[in-house]
Amino acid sequence: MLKGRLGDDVLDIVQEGIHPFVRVKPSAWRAAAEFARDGLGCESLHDLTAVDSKDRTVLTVICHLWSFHHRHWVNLKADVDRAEPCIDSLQPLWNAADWHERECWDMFGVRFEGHPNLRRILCAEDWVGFPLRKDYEMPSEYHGIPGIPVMRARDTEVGHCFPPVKKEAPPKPAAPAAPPPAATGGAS
Amino acid sequence: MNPVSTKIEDLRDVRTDELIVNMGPQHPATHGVLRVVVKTDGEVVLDLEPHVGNLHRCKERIGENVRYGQFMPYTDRMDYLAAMNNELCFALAVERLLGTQVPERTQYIRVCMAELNRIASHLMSIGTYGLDMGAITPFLYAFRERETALDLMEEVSGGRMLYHYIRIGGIAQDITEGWTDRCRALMTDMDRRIVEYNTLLTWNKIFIERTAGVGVLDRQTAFDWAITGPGLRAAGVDWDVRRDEPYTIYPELRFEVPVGHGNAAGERVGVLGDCWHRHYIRMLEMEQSVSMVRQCLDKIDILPPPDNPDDVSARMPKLLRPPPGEVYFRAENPRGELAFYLQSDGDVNPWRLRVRGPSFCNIAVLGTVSRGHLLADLVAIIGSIDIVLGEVDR
Repeated sequence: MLKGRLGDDVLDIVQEGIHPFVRVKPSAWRAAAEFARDGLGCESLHDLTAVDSKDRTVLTVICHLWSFHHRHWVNLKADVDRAEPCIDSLQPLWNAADWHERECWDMFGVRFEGHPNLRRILCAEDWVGFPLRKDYEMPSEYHGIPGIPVMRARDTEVGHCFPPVKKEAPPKPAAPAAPPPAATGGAS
Repeated sequence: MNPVSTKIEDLRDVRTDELIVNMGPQHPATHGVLRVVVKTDGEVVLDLEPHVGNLHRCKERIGENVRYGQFMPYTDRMDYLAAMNNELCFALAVERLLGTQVPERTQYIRVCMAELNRIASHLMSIGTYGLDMGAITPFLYAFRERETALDLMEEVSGGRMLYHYIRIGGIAQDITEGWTDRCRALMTDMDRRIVEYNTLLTWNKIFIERTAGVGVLDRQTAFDWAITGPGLRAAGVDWDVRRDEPYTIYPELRFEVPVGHGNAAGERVGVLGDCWHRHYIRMLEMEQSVSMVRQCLDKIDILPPPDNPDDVSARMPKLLRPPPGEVYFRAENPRGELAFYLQSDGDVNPWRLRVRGPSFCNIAVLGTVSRGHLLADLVAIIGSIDIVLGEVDR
């Protein structure tokens, strides 16, 4: 049905398996979603997210639309260029897309055209990079907070992922012998 | 001098200077580290914007870096008040990807734990909601029963809130000797306790005054914002994933889905989809959960435990390598529909692990619902939406 409506804009339809989906051209993203809402009765946008690709060329934007009335899913996918990811916003169709698209921008850097308030949502406003892209590296520090290079630790097979703590020599106590910890614990 | 009117309509006529009020992230009524920036005109909320992300740990990235089974403890820490439900949802998502069959008795144990956790979670939600509304006693009462429920779950799993009990393919270990009897005793206790909470809170005049007709979330708004869980049902939508898209052994259980009618128990309290209805739906859901736990317990007692204790779970390979493919699985959590989107490339780690948290979706509607309400009602609305920030920020 979607194929007949959108014609050449539909690239791929998978109907078998546990996750059927329809892949559309990014230019037809809004039109496909609008048809799913008005023609297929999908009242709610259940989820919207993106997936990085193996060959690092595209980001696949996925949305899961649900129809309470007909009790069926419409899962849409669209591949956007990874260097310049940009796709139409679904926020005018469903308000639920608002935060999901902000999160998608935050995590993948997908720009949603027509979103009224496309800002980072989970990360800080001045965060650098898009954490869910596969080539993302943790910053080594953020405003003086040391970063944990988990990815690097995994790649180089280092046993620990935290930087080793530098131990400084404790200052010599003024008293000749500190009281044992058990005594202070008992006193308090 | 005329008495000061408390009606919103009257207050709207009084124009004062607009003032930006910052609420949170450290605020007792935001249930965690939610920060809300409110634009007020006197006592009336003109506009507001929730700021989330203070608890962001990038769970989705962690999930891509660890193996399937290793992500299970992380699911506990999302909605930490309903850890069993999170575990169940994740286990079922991976099992659907793998095509695993779980032994029947284990499925009953899992659902029993999930429903027990739902009771504990709703008790927490109801108790703290009373606290937000200025009623301290129901909070203490609710924690008494919640503690017993937590003790029961601690007995089987060893953890008080973060269990890591449900595993992919089964459970960590069988339930302990006499557990079903102790659980049944709690359920018997719950029957009269629920009546007690209703008397204390639900039908309390002050509570009704504070919550009825406040923060109305109607059917269309609920669809538009993809609201799920008690918020959706309070808006009059007869929908529950456990009944309508059933998973595991839910088709075997007899239960009703409480839906708001705007005319609860014969007397009209509030309007459909208001804070009071969201609270009342939770009370009714708790009754249903008690019944479901009972049915599970009966079944667990009938079904014989396996001779080999290891057979409580399905036989799984040491390293899970699901076939390449993807799955979008959702389950009914106390706060709404939790969904996992998993994409496997045949490796031991998921290629993509997406968490669709109900709290994240539900709190987004806060601005729409609370516009035009009093600042004091904002606390009532946040409490009734019932969020867990661990899941909002993930």
